[in-house]
Amino acid sequence: MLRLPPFRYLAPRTLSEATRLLAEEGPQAMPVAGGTDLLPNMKRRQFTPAVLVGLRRLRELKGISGSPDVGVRIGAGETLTSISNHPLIRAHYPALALAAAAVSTPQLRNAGTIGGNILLDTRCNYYNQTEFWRHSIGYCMKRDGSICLVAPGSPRCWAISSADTAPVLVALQARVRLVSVRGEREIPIQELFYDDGMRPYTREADEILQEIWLPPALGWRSTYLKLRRRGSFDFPILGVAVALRREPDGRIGDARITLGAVASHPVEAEEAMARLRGQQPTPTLLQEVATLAAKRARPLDNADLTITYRKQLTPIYVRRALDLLVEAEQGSGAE
Amino acid sequence: MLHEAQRQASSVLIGTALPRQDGEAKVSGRARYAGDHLPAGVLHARLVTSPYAHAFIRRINPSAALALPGVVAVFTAANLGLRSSDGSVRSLEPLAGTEVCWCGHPVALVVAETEALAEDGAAAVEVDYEPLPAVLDPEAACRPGAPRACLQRDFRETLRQSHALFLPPGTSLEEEGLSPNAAALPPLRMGKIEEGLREAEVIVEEHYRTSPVHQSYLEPQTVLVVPDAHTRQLTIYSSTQGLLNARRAVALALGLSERQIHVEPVPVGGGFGGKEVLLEPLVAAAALQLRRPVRLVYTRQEELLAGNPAPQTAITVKLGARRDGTLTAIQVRLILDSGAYPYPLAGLSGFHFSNLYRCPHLAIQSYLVQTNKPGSAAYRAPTGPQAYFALESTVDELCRRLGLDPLAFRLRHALREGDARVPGGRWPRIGLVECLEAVGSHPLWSERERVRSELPAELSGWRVGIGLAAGGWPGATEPAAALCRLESDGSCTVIVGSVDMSGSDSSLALIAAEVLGLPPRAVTVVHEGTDTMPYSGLTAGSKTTYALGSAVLAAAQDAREQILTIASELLEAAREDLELRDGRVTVRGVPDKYVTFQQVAANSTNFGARYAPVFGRGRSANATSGPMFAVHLAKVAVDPETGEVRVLDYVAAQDVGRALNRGEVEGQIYGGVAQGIGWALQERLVYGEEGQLLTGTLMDYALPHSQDVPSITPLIVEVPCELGPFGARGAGEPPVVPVAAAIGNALRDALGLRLTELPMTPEGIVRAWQESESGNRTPSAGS
Ligand SMILES: Cc1cc2nc3c(=O)[nH]c(=O)nc-3n(C[C@H](O)[C@H](O)[C@H](O)COP(=O)(O)OP(=O)(O)OC[C@H]3O[C@@H](n4cnc5c(N)ncnc54)[C@H](O)[C@@H]3O)c2cc1C
Ligand code: SF4
Repeated sequence: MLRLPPFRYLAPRTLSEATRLLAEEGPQAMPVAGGTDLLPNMKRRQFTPAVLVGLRRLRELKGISGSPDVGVRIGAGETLTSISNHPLIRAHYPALALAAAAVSTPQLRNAGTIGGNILLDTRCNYYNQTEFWRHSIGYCMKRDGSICLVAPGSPRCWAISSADTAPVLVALQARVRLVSVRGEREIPIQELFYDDGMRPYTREADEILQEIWLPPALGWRSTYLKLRRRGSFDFPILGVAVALRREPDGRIGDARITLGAVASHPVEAEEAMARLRGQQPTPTLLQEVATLAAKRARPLDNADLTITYRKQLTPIYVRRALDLLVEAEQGSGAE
Repeated sequence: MLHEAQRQASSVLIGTALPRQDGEAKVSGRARYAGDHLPAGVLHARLVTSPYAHAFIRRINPSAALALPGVVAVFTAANLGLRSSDGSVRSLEPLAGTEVCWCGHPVALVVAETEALAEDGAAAVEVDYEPLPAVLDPEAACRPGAPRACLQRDFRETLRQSHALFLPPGTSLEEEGLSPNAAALPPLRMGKIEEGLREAEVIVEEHYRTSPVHQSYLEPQTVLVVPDAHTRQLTIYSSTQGLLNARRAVALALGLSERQIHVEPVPVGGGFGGKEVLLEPLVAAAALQLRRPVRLVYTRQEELLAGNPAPQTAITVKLGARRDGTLTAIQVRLILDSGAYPYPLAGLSGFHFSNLYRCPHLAIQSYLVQTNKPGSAAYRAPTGPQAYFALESTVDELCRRLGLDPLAFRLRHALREGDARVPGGRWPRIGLVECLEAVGSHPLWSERERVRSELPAELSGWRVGIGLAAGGWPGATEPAAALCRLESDGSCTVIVGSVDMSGSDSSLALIAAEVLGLPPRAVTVVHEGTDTMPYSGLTAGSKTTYALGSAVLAAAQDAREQILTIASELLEAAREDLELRDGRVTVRGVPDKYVTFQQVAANSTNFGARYAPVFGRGRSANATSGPMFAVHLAKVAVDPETGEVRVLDYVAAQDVGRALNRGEVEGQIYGGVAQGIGWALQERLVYGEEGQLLTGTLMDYALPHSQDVPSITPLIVEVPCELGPFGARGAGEPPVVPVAAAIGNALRDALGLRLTELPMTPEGIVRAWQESESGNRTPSAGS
C-alpha cells in the first residue's frame, strides 16, 4: 500500500490569499491543482511537502475566453477535459486540443489541469518508482541520492519533460502569467523552462501560474503527434508539436516545431524551422526538415522503450506531422 | 458413450446463454471476497521484502519497528514457528532464513493494529544484507561458470523432493557442461529423431525467447486467518483456488491436524493458476501465535514483485519434412525459468510439442533452471502460450519454405482419434480437425486475399497480414463429489466444494436444471467449506465442469430417481410413464395428472411424512481427461516504419465438447484471447541487471487496454467428450494458447519477417524490419 506522507492542507478562496499562504509557509509548501501528478509523487516520497495549498477554489485560475484574432486566455486551473472539448481551441488551436486529449485517461483528464500539466515534474525510469524500489537500486541525485543512475558520470539530471501540452504551448508561442506576493510577471512560455531535470522550471516556490495566453491564430495550422506504448494511459515518449503559417502563394510563412519528451525541457528545432521559412513544402524539403529537427532529440535510456527506437521514430513523427498540415492545407485549397 | 439420461434430455437449456448467478453481486460490488471480511480485532500484516536479488541475511533488527505504537509483532523465519521444510515449496517456507534468492523475497512479517501502522513497521525493520552475485537470464544460468542462484539449497535435490512422481529415484538430472543451477529433465521421445532428420529434405530451425508474465487477476492475493480464542482451531478466508489445498498446506506447515483448520468458501476474483497456496501458512502462523485475526492483502506492487508469475522460456524448435510436405521430425530444446523454486509444472511442459501433429520421430529435451526471480507458477494452460508460439511459428515457416498452404498442412498432420500419444497410449476422440475446418470456412481465411486488402482509412500505409495458429490443452481430471437437495419450495440446491473462478457455477446449475426439468434459476449452487464440502480438488486445468460437472450430473440424476420414486407412488403411475418438466412430475400424455416438486418435498420432509428426503449424491472419477483444441485466426495491421501493431480482427475456433452455457464459453474465449494479446504484444516483467524488478506497477507492466482488443468471433466446435457431462470438455485454458503464434504468423504475413521474441514490441519489429531491409539489400548489391 502506498500512503501519503503527513501534510497540512490549506484551501484559500482567492488568488491573493493563496500567494500569501505560499509566501508565509515558505518552500515547505507546494500548490496543488488536480493533484494527479503531485499526489502519486508524494506517495512515492519524491515530494514530502509539509503544506499543500489547494488551488481548486480560485476563480482567478478559471475560464477560457477570447477569439482567433485577438488570442485566447486560458486559466491555469482549467481541466484538460474542458480544454480538449472547447470549441474555440478545437477550431483554432487544434494541436492544444489534441495534446490535452492525449493525456493519460478520461478520469485523469477530468481532474488534471493545464497548469499542473505545464509544471509536471520531469520523469525518469529510475526516479518515478516507489521508495522501496529506489532504495533497492540506490537513490539518484534527483531525490535522496548523489549520482545519476542513467548517466553515472554526469554532473546533472536528465529526467524528461513529459507533459503533452508543453511542447504545443511552445510551438504556439504562448505566454504565461505568474503571480506572487512579490508581484506579477508575464513571460514567453519558453522562459518558464530550464534544461535541468532537477530544477526544470524558473517558477519560484512562492509563485502561482495564473493563466496562459495564446496569440492570435489567424492563418496558422497546428497539430500534435504523440508516441507512447499504448493508446491511452501512458506518458509520451515523444511528442511532436508543429504549427505552420502558409503564404498565399503556398510558401511557408512561418513554422514552429517543438519536441516533447526528448530532454528535460520542450526542445525547439530552430534549424529545421529556419529551413522551412519562405520555402515551398516539397516532399524532399519536408524530409530534410524532419531529419534536421530530429537531430535535436537526444534521448537517454530512461523512459519506456529503448533510446534507439525513440531516436529512430523522431524524424518519422516530425515528417508525419508536417505532412498532415501540408496535406490538410492542400486538401482545403482544392475545394 | 454418453449416459442415457443425457441423451434423452431434450436439452432445452444446454447450449443457451444464461446469466451468471453471481453476476449481479459482483457487478454491484456486493460480493464479499476474502479481503472484505473484517472481523473485530483484526490485525493487519505487511511484508518486509528483500531489495536484493541474492544476498545473505546477516541480521534482522526489529526493535525500531516494535517500538512503534500499534505494531504488535514482527515475525522472521526464526520465530514464525513453522515446521522445517526442504525449501522446495515457497508457501511452506514463506520467510527467508539466512539467504534471499530474489528481489522481493519476504524476510519478515510485521503485524499491526492498522494497515498504515503495519506499513510503517515494515519500513522500520532493519535488515543487514551481504549481497551476492545474481543470475537472471535462464540461458546464462545454464552455463557452467554461472553464479549459483541459491547457495544453501541444491536445486536438483529440491526438484526431486517436489517432483517425486515425475522423477523416480535414480533419474539423472545432470548433463555435461550444465551448471548446477539447471536440471536436465527426462527427455520425451517417439521414434528415432536422427532418422527423422535424415529423412527430411527440408529442415527449419528457429530459436525463440519469451518473457515472464504475471497472471494479473483482478483480486490480489488475500488471506485472513481467524483463530479460535481458546483452542488451536483456525478459520481461513483466502483467495485460493483450492480450499482443501490451502487446508493441507497450513496443517503441514504448522503441524496441526487438518480438522483444526476450517477454510471457508469465498468468491475469488480470478486466479488463472497463480493462486494455489502462497501466503496461507505464513498468515496462519502469525494468527495462531497472536491469537487474533490477521489479514494480509497484497498490493499490486507486491503482486508484480512477489507473486508467482508464468515462466520465461527459451525454446529451439527444429522441424524436418520431405518436399511433399510430410513431417518427419520434431526436435525441441526447452529452457524453462524456474525462478527460485522448482516450477510445479515442469513435468508437463514438454508434452505441448507432441500434442498437435502426427510425426513419426520426436525428441523433446527440457531443462529447468533456477534463477534469482520469484518462483514460476501456472498461468492459464501452463507453458502453452510459450510452447505453441514456438511450435506454430516454426510450422508456419516450414509451410512457407515448402510452399504449402498452412491450413492444408495442419489438416494433413493434425492428431486424430487413435493416433499414438507420447509417452504412450492413443488419442481419444478429439476435435482438432474440426477446429481447423471451422476456421477454414470462415471468410477471414477463405476470403483472405480480399480481407487483407481491407484497411481502415486512418491506417493507410500500414501493412496487413492474416495468421493462423493452433494449440491445445490435454485437459485434467480429478475425482469429485457433489450433493443435490430438494427444497420445500420445489427448488433445488447443489452443494459443492469447488472454487468458482470462471463462472463454472452457472454450468453446474445448468446441468442439474436440465436433469431435473427445472428452470435454471430454481437451482442454486452453494459452496461449502472444508469441514463439510463434498470432495473437490484445485480449480485448475479446465477440469471443473468436466470432472465436478460429472459429479453434479450424477447427484442430480440420483435426486431425479428419488423424485420419480415418490411421484410414482403419489400418482399411482409407473415410473416409465412420468416426465419431469418445469418443477412438476407429470404423467406423460395426461397433462393435468401431476405432482409438483413442492408436493414431493412436502411428502418427504414434513413431520410425519412418509418418504425419505430427496438428497442426491453424486461422485465421479473420470479415468481420463478430455483433450481440447483451439485454432485461431488473427488479422493485424502493422506500421513498418514505427512497428506499431493493431489487431484488427480475430476468430477463435474451439472444441468444447458441448457448450453447456454458451455465454460462459464465449466469455472464456474473449478473456483468453485478450490475455493472449498481452502475451503477444505487451506484457513482460523486466528485471534489471542486478535483479530488481523494473516493471513494478501497472504503469510499467503493460496490460492490454480495451482499445488493444479487437472484436473476437468465437466459433464453437462440439465434438463430444465421452466422460464429460452432456459431452462437455473444459473451456478455460485453450483460448490463450494460440494467440501469440497467430499474431506472430500474421505479422510474418504482413512484413515477411519472423518475430521470435515475446512480447513482439514495436521496437523489436522496427529492428527486425531494418535488419531484413539491409539483409535484402546485400545480395542485390553483390549482384
Ligand atoms: C497514470 C497517469 C498517467 C498520466 N499520463 C500523462 C500523460 O500521458 N501526459 C501528461 O502530460 N501527463 C500525464 N499524467 C500527469 C498528470 O495527470 C497531468 O500532467 C496533469 O495535467 C497534471 O495536472 P494536475 O492539475 O493534476 O497537477 P498537480 O498534480 O496538482 O500539480 C503538478 C505540479 O504542478 C504544480 N502546480 C499545479 N498547478 C499549479 C499552478 N497553477 N501554479 C503553480 N504550480 C502549480 C504542483 O505544485 C505540482 O508540482 C499522468 C498521470 C498519471 C497518474
Ligand atoms: S536522469 Fe539521472 S539523476 Fe535524473 S532522475 Fe534519472 S537517474 Fe536520477
